[in-house]
Amino acid sequence: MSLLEVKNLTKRFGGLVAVDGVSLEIHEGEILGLIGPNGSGKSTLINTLTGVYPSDGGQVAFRGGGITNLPPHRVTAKGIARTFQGGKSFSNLSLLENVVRGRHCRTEAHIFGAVFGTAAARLELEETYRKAEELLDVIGLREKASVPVSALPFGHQSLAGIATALATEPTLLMLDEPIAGMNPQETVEMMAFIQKVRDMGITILLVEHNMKVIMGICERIVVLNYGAKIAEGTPEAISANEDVIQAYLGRSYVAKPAQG
Amino acid sequence: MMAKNQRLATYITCAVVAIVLPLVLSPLKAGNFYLHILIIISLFTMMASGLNLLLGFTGQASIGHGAFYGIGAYTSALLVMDANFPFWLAFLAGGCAAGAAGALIGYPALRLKGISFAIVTFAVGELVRLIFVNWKNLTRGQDGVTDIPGATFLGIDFTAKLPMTYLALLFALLSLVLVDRIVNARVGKAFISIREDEDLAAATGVNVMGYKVLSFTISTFLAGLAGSLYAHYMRFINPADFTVMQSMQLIAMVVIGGLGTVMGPVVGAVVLLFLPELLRPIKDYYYLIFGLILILVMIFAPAGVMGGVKSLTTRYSKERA
Repeated sequence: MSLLEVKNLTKRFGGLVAVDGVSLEIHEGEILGLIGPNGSGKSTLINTLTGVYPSDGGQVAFRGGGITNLPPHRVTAKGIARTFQGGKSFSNLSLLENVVRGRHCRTEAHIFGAVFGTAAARLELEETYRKAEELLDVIGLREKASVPVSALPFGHQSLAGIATALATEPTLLMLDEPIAGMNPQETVEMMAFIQKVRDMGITILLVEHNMKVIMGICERIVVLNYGAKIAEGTPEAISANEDVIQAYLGRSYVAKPAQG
Repeated sequence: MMAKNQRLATYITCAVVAIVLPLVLSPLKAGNFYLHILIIISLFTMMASGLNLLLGFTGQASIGHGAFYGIGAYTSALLVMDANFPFWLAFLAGGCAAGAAGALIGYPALRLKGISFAIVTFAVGELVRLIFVNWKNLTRGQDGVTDIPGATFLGIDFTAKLPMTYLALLFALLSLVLVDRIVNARVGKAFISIREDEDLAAATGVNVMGYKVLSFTISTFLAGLAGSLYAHYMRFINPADFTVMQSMQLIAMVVIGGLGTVMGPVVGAVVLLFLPELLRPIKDYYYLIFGLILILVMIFAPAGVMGGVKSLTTRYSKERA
């Protein structure tokens, strides 16, 4: 079942075509890898899909409904969450407060509830904190709840960003280089964690440069180069694809079979 | 930002101080003067609280808030004098007029970020002042509005110093409570998210533009209410009361008192309104010292007074942001 359908999406910055008529589909329940050299348009694609940048052409449909050019906060409300490169978080706030922020789109108390301290607003806030604490258990960092995220090791900062995204109750989660900067141990843990998230019922788009991770957990891979899609297929097919080897992988790489 | 018990204790302490202080000061030889300072501190606390919500919690710098103070003052005074409004209605109308102006101006202006937005607010401040000066038929121009009736409500006459002091203190406290409630609720957390990282805030579902405008509107509403109280207290207002000087004083109060802390505005107002009194012997150098303090605070203690107090008294406790 096609969860996200992207047709001919284009994004230009002046004369530079950052995303060049990209079409792809993300199927429900899969982990789709998105790879390509630096500057190939991976992050720009995510930003355009989630409304951070207005598109210059093409359509995006999510669960059958058009979402082209919706602003980011509406895209999140629809069920698409994303993380940012570099483990971006509200770094001055505590880990718990970060994850609490993710609940914003699933709650509704507004100024009246705040000013007059209505029961509904209070109860909603209590539930927000409860759900945030549950997510801290999912990432295994409950004991670090009051630590400012900037004081956490980089791997945990990345997890914090993912937990915040998970708090928005997404159907589709786009991870932008969650593993950059991690050591081998952290990498293996993150791979298992991403699969755990998928097993929770969330479809995943994974942008990564770490081929061990991509080939290890993605069922399908899309390859971008200079903003255009140059290949799409299983890890085996991609690692044997001449264009992909030329543009990005090099000859020394051999695909590992996808892990169960 | 504080545990429930701490908040309750702070509310009670403030209430007690607010009730007792005027009674202590009033019988003193310079009693009337002290009460006057207390009233002005209260009015600026209202405005600085609102500005703190915008600047300290939402991260948007407005250097034109004096304009909204003026809109509240003129609206209230003129409604009472020219349209026979009762004080309490004119007071609310003053707040709403300033709030509406804030929403109207904020909607386009907040599309700009950082310094560009600040410059626009400065221009708006000047523009509004010029309207006060030039729309003579309405505002009496440079001459200002004189003989404004004092505040009366439910038969109580607030023209006398002591009742007026209590009225001003009441609204100062209410402003602090308002900001405190907002920042500890979902709305306030959205404001803080915007201050910390707008893109990330949007990704969590925050309508950044909408919340920025809301923050701006609340801050201008409070300034308008303060303006109304000012008009019916001083009973004389003119365009010179609502200039960039007031705007800058407000910014200084918010920064020195502690950006993003609820009590910061009070501390800032007290510091900045007592300073001229302490410096009276060298009052020619007042603005120089004022500016110097602001610069030193920004460089060496950007968290302000309350920020320093907070970091001294909190560690990784169950603090909520």
